[in-house]
Amino acid sequence: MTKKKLLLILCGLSLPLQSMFAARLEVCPSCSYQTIHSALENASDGDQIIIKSGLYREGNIQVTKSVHLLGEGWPVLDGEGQTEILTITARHVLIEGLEIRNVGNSYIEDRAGIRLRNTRFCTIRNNRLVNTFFGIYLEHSADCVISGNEVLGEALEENSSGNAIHCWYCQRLTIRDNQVYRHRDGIYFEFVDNSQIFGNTSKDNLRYGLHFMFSNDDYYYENRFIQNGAGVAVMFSKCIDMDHNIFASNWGRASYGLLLKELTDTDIRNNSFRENTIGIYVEGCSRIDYHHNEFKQNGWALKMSGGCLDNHLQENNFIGNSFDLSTLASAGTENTFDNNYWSEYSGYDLDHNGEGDIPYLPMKLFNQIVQQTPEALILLRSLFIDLLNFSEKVSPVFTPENIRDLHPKMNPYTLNIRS
Amino acid sequence: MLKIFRFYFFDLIRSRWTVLYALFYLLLTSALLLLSPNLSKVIISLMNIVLFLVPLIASMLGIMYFYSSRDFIELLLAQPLRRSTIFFGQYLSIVGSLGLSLLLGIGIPFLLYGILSSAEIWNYLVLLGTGLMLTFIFSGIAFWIALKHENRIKGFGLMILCWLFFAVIYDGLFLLGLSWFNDYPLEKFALGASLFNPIDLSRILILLKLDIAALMGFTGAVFSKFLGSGLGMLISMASLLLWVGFPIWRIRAISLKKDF
Amino acid sequence: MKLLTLLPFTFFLLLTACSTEPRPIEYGNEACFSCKMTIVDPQHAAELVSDKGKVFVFDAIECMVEHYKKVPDQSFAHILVNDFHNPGAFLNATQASYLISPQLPSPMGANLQAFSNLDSATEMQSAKGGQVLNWASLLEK
Repeated sequence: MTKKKLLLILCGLSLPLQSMFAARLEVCPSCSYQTIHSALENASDGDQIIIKSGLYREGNIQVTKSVHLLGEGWPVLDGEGQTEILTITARHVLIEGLEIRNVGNSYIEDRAGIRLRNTRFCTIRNNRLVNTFFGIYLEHSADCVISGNEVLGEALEENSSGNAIHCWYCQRLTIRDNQVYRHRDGIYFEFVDNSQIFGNTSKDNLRYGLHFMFSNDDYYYENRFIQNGAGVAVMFSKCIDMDHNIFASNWGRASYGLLLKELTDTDIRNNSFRENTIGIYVEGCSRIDYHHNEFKQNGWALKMSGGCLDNHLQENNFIGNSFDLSTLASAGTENTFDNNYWSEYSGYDLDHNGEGDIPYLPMKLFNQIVQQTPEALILLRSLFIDLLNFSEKVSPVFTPENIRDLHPKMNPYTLNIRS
Repeated sequence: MLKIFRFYFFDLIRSRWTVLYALFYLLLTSALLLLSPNLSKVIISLMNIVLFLVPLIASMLGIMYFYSSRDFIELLLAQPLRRSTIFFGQYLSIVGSLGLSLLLGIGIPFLLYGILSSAEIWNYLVLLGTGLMLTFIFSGIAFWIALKHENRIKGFGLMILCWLFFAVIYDGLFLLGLSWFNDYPLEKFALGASLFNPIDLSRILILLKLDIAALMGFTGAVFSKFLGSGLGMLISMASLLLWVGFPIWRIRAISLKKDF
Repeated sequence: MKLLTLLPFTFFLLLTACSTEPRPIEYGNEACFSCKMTIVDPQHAAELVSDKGKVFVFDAIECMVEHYKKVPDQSFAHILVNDFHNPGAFLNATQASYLISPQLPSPMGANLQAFSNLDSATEMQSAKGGQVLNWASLLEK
């Protein structure tokens, strides 16, 4: 037996030993500790604090030791609208099974239900946070896992609402299987790198379901973004890969499924964009591949504004959108649209190779007019506009020739997309 | 007057044109309802057709009918009847028969579909209401033109031009105006300009009721705020009613003076 | 007769063309003219009204300043920012005082807030730290 193996076995043995030595401190009205504060004072690193069901009104609780705070039977920690509730500054803290309620709104401070500050290796899982202004707030932290939490806000008005999961200057986070409802942003990343977000549902948030600012090398997949002000916004970031997400029903006058601004080097695949006012809005983005996505019944499937370079749309399905594309005339030389299926396409396929024999021009004249004069949208679906679009379709005069799909598919792709 | 209305009305109902018109709507609406499960989408498609066809048919049938029944009018004029009675009877009968065709053509399929218990009922009623209004307006204009111009070619030409103006040319000028004054705030201008065209106003009234209104951006928001308010409702209704009333007023004035 | 019918139309045109008043922002329903983000934060939102009356809305003061600098030839009837202490009340941006403090995040990452007077800006500065500016020095940044 080598030394290395021996060491491993010893380590393995020591794990249960450690938990045997770890004390179990119980908190309840009839337990040895009546308050979480007193239990924390008497705990040492590695201890478990079991909080039995009940209502705990203890104001702000600072967790400065590496302990596990475990709720049994959903104990309620109530901030009574006055303070932040849990503030964690120690490493290796686990918070599980707590219900955290009523953090007061504030214009000056970003109070949170659970705050992690300057810490690492913490886990926040299976908690319920209700009406907590900011739900879970991570700052200057790394290697933390936030999973299975329900964060329910009561943000009805835009002012005075916080984000459900807010991460600021963090590294290597895992955010998974959370439900975040009714906040300003569901999940917010600012200066957060090398992190993963998956399996979350973000719904009814006022602004964005998920929001990246100045964050790089993150990966989000298999999330659902439904009925938010806008589904996801990715801004001033690099390498944010996204796949198998659902962006649905983000419908309103200033709504998007996905908003990309100043993003580079990203792969967007197998996502579904359904019934959004604008499926994807792109501005100032370069080197982005969009493939195997589904755009169904959006107002605009894709809107591309200035400063876009090397955006490539290939093998996507565009089905039943009011408009497939709106972009600047110059966009065609710097970006490509190829091999997509467009339900609007009315060409033919004489050689039966599955590809239309004439190119598809996804940009309608009306969209070009609207770019110049947004107010012209009021003429939407008028006979004049229909005639205009039709005559352009028959013989394009104003429509930029270079924005076109040379190989439009006759039949939609079968895509691997979550339902 | 009732007698004259009844005579013309049943004459029209029996005529091939009105029956065809009703049948067309019946078939179209049923087909749309069968093909698309989404009521809101059906209403949008129908809207496109109604806003196109209703003014056109009302204009054409109105003017054709007046010219073809001229002999009979002259006969009636020899009778001890008030002139306004004769002309209103005729106007109401054509409006009534066209309106009924529209009502039955669009109404029956939706009733069978169960529109009454659907959330889209109000949107549907707006569609129906504006359709009827447009029938009133364009039949009225047709009558007015026909009364004014004895020359049939001229009458037809004017009517077609009139329809073309409201259906197409107006929006073209509207668009030109918008891009011309791009530097200015245009929401209110757009709002006002659409009040002057019954077809545009109808289209916007319907669109704003549907989800698709979100596509119209901030201008759409200004519109829905205005038209959603009591005053806006009043003004838009007043505008449509003025459009109904104006040709009637002209018909009356001309019919009293005209020498047959 | 024909001219008479045109009269209300022209009258109405004149009526609508000449207002340069600011209008309230519809929070949650409007997108920033510059960055396209939905405007939700009344503490930081800003507005420009051109001399011809066209209104531009922004989600943050930094977005407004960015656009303002982009169009040096355009003159504006109103340059407006929100008061940090009294969100919803517009201030004349050229008269306001500004604070850039890393402790006070703003929507587009400039940590920039506006105050109605220098005193409240310096007061907030002593609490949160940062740098106090006026309109002229803000434009230079």
